[in-house]
Amino acid sequence: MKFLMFSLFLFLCLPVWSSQYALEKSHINYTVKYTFKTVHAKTEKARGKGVCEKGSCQFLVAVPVKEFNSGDSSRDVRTLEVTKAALHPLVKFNVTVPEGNLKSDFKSDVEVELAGVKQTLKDIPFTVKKDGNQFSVSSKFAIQLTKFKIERPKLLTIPIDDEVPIDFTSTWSVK
Amino acid sequence: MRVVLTSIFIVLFSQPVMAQSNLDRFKIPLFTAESLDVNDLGFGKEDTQSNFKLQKDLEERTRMLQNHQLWGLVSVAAMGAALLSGGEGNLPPEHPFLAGLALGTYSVSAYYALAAPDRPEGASYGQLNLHRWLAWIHLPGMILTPVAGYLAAKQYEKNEPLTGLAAQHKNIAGITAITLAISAALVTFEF
Repeated sequence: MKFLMFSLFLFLCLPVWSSQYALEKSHINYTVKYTFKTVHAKTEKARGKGVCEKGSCQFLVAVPVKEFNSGDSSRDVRTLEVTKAALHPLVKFNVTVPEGNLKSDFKSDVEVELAGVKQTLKDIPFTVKKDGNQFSVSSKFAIQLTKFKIERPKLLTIPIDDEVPIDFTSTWSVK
Repeated sequence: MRVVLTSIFIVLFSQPVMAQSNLDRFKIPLFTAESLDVNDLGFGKEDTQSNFKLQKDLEERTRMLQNHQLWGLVSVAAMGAALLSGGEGNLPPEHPFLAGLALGTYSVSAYYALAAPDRPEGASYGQLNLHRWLAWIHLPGMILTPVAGYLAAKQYEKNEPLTGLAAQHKNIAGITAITLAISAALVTFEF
């Protein structure tokens, strides 16, 4: 009987041994720089999940490009056009990190998918703060628009900076 | 020992199939590092599916609004030149030509703005709102200015003092030119 109970326990519980994380809230901010002007666009509409298995954790965060607000609808519609958001509506961030690294600040590669193009950014630093069942993760990194085959919008024939810094803060809960 | 071995056997060989069906029953998705996908994040179809027509419309919209901007700037320049060429009493010969150029280029610019595909859903915000609002001033102004100018020219020809709408030609033209210039500046120094 004990044997049966133990087996049943293992059978029912093992599938959830792999821990999962849910993105509770987030703030993603990108900055576009131009010779005479700097523009910030932000969103809090990202969704994300994380799963840890066999000592490795994968986190996926995605947000529709249309959810970014730069304070000017004309500029935001132009952003949709140059990033081909109608064809590739989501910008995705994918991070794989050893489970043990989640306990403190860590560095990891980040795979960014934008405009249908994937780029891996190497050794991006992440700051981790634990608070009970939740933990906050923040990071700053930059992408190059040309690497994503994005035609840079121009103002008075001068294109915006190729480099776009991204500021990411998030709160995750363990499921 | 037999218990442990049997348990391991159950775990190793029963889980992939049985656990999945078990979890499906309780609506608990089983994520693995390999399967984590945006479809697991609960986005609606409109947020994940490609829309080729929308992309084409966005590109067409950009092309037409760039033309709108270009012709709008030419219109501002022509309007400014027409204002400077206008005189009291004697009508300089270049004034009607420059005024006509301003009206023509304004019409072309307006066509591109009105014919451009609409922006995707959602209200407009930021400087675009002011740009659009100013059209309610410079569009009627652009219609009234040549009418008032024509009436003023007729009254000058008859050596009559300017009255009614004709007397307001300069004021209407001035207000129209200023609002048009502000409207153009709002979108010219923006990307």
